[in-house]
Amino acid sequence: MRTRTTIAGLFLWLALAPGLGAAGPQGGPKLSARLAAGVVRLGDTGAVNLTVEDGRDARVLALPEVAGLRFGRPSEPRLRQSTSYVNGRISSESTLTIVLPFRAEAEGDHEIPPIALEIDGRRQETRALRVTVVRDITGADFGFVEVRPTAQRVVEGQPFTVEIRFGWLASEQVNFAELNLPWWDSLPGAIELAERTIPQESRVDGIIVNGRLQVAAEQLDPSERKGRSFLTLRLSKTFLPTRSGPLEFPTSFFEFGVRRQGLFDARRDSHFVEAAPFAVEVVELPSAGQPLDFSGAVGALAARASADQRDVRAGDSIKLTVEWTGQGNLEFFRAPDPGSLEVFRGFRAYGSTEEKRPERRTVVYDLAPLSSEVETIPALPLTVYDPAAERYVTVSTEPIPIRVRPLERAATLGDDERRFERDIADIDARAPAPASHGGGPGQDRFLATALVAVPLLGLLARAHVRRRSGDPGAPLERRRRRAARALGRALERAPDPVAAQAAWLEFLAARTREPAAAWNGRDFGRWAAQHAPGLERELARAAGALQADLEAAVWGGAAAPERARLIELGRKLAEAGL
Amino acid sequence: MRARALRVLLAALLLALPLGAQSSFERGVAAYRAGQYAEACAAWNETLAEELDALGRARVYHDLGNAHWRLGETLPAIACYTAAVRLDPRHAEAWHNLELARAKQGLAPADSGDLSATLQRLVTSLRVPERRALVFLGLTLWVVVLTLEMRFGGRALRLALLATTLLVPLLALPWAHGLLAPTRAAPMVVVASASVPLRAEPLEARASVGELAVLEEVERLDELPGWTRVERADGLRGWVSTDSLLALRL
Repeated sequence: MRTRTTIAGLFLWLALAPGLGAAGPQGGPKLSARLAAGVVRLGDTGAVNLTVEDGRDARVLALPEVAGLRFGRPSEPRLRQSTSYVNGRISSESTLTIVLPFRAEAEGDHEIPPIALEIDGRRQETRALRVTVVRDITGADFGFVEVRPTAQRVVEGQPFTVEIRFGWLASEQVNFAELNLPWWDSLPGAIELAERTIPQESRVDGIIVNGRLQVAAEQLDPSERKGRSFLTLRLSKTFLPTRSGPLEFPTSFFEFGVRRQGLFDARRDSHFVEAAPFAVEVVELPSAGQPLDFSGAVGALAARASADQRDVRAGDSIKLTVEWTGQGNLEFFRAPDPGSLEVFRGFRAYGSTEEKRPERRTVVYDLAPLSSEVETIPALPLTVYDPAAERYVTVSTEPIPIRVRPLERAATLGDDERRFERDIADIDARAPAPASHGGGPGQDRFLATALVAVPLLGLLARAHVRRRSGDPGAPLERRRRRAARALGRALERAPDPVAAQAAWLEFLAARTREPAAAWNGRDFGRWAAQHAPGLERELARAAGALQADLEAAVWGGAAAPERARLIELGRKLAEAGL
Repeated sequence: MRARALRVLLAALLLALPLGAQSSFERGVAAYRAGQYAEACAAWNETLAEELDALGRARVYHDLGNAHWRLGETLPAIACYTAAVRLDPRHAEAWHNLELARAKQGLAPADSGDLSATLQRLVTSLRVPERRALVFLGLTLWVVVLTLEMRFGGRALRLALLATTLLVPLLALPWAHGLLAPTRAAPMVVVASASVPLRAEPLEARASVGELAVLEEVERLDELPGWTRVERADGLRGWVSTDSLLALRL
C-alpha cells in the first residue's frame, strides 16, 4: 500500500513540477554574497559570487569602490533550477548567480562594502565582505616587471614613451605570461602614437595584456639580477599629451607561470610581480617668446633638404624634399609654407605633398624659380620648442645652390606679372574748346514750351479740321481725293464716248460726295451756281460745255472730247475745291 | 623811321606770342609728359577755372584724374573721373580709368552692370546737345505724322500718330532727366581716406553733428581758411576740413 502511495505521489510530482517550480516557495528572494577566495595574491584576480535564491531577475546596481581592489564588469546572471522529492514532499528552488570579478592591486585587508542589487524590481544589499591581499613573496624571486617613462616631465605635444620590461628566471619553466596594465587601453589626456615595428628575429608573440589582447614583445638580452639570469622582454607605447596636468599610470602587474590543461579543467601555477604606479607631469607650452610662426613642433628635431634638380631654366619645377627627424611630434606640426616666406620671394610655390611617420616627417615642395637671378634655394626654417633647452629654437635646412638659366626669347615670370598689370588710359592732349555762350537754359525753356505747346496746338488743329471736313479717312473722302487719278485711269481704258462720259460723271460724283447717277442729266452751270458759288464762272462754263460735248458724242454721234481736255479740266476743278 | 620801329615791334610780338600764349592746359600736358604730375595738376586746375565747353571740361578732368593717379592719390582721381563721365557720359577712357581706380580702392564698380544701372547708363549716355536734339526730333516727327493723319486719315496713320505720341516722351526722357536731376552750384567731393566728421563750427574741438562718407558729394556753402561749410544731400550742414574735399566745376 505504501509502495502504491509513493508511486502515485511520483506521478503527481511529474505532473505538477513545472507549475510548482514557477510558483516557488513562500518568503521572497534571498540574496547572499561570498568570496571565491578570502585571501588573494597581489595582482591576482578574485571574485565575489552573488547568489539570489528564488528570484527571477537580478542586476548589480553599482560597483563597490574599494581602494586596492579594481572591480570589473559583473557577469550575466546564471539561472539554476532544481526540484527535489523528499519523504513525499516535492520542493523546487531556483538560483541566480552573478560573478563580480576584481583585481587585487594593493596589499592588506580590504572591506568590500554592501553591494546593492535590484532583484525582481526591489533593491537588496549584501552584507559587507572582507578580503585579504597578500604579496606573492616568491614572485619577485622568479620574475620582474618594470614600467618606466622616457621622461617624467613633458610639455604639451611632446611625445614620450612608456617602456615595460618584464621577464622571468631563465631556468624557470613558463608557458604563459600576462601583463595587467590598466593604462594600456586608454590614457585620458594623451593620444597613442603608432609603434615602431619589432625586428622579426627578436619578436616574441603571445604576451597577453589585460586578459584580452595578445601582443608581441621584443626579446632583449638576458639580464642579471641577484646573480641569476633572467629572460627579458620589452613592450613600449608612445603617447602624445594633449593637455597639461599629470598623466596617471596605476600599478601594473605581471603574471607568469605554467598553465596545465586537464581533461575537464585548466590549472595554472603562476607568480605575480608588480610595478609601482607613477605619473608623468605635462606642462603647458610657454607663451613667452613663442614666435608668431610657431607651428606646434615640439622636440629635438633636425632638418635636411635636397633638390631633385639644381640646374634649371626660369619657371622649371624643382622638387625640394625636406625631412625632419628626431624625437618630437613629427606627425603633428604644420609644415612651413615657402609661399609665405619672404626669403622664397624669388620662387613660386605650387604645392606640396607630405608623408608622416613616427620617426620621420617628409614634405616635398614644388617650387619654380621666377628669374635667372635666383642662385640658391633658401634655408627653410621651422620654429620648434626644444623641451631640453626649454626655449623655442629655429631648425633650418641648409641653403641649396642652384643655377637658373633665363628663358630664351622670353621674359621671366616676374616680368610677366608686371607686364599684365592693368594701367589707366593715357591723357587726352586735345585742347578744350571755350564754352559757347547762348543756348543753355534758354534752349531748355524753349524745348519745354514746345513740348507742351506743339502737341496741344496740333491736337486742337486736328479737332478743328475734323469738325470742318470730317474724317479724311472716310470712304467718300478717300474717293474724292482719288477722283482725279481715277478719272485719268478710267479715260485710259475708255474705248468710246459712253465710257468717257461715265468716267467724267464718276469724277464729278466723287468730288461732290454723291452717287454717280446723281449727275445724269444735271446741268453743271446751274448746280455750281447753287452749290459751289466760289467756283470760277469760267471754269463752271467750261465744265458745262464739256458735259454738253460728251452728251453730243454719246447721243448725237459727234466726236468725243479729247482725253487731255477731260483730265486737265478735272485737275482744275479739283484744285478749285470742287 | 617810325614805320620801321613799328615793324620791328610787330615781329617781336609775333615771335614771343607762341611762348606767352601757351595755355595752362598745354603746360599741364607738358608737365605730365615730363613726369611732373603735381605741376600738371596745378596747371589743369587753372584750366578748369576757365569757361570751357562740357566735352572739353570732361577731357581736362580725365587728364587731371590721371595726374592724381600717377601721384598715388586714388580718391581724387576717382572724383575727377566721375566728373569727367558726368560731363561726357560716353568718355570711354574716363570710364575705364574710373573703374580701374575704384577697383584699386576696393570700391564697387561705378557701373554695376545690372538692369537698373544699365537703364541709368542708357538715359544718361547722351550729351546735353544730343538730348535737346532728340527732343526736337521727336517733336518734328510728331508734327509730320499729325499733319499726314489730318490730311489723309486712315487707321495706319492714326496708329502712327499714337506711336509717335508715345515716342516723344521717351525721346524727351534723357533731356528731362538731365533737367530734373539735382544740380549743385558748387559741388565738392570728399576725398579723405576715411569718413570725416561734420562739425557745427569750424573748430576741431567741436563735437561732430554728422559724418561725410568717402566720395560723398556735398554742396559748398561757405569757406574759411582751412575749413569749408558744406551741405549734405539730406540737408545737414556743417564745417569740414578743406583738405578732405575736392571742388568740382561741372
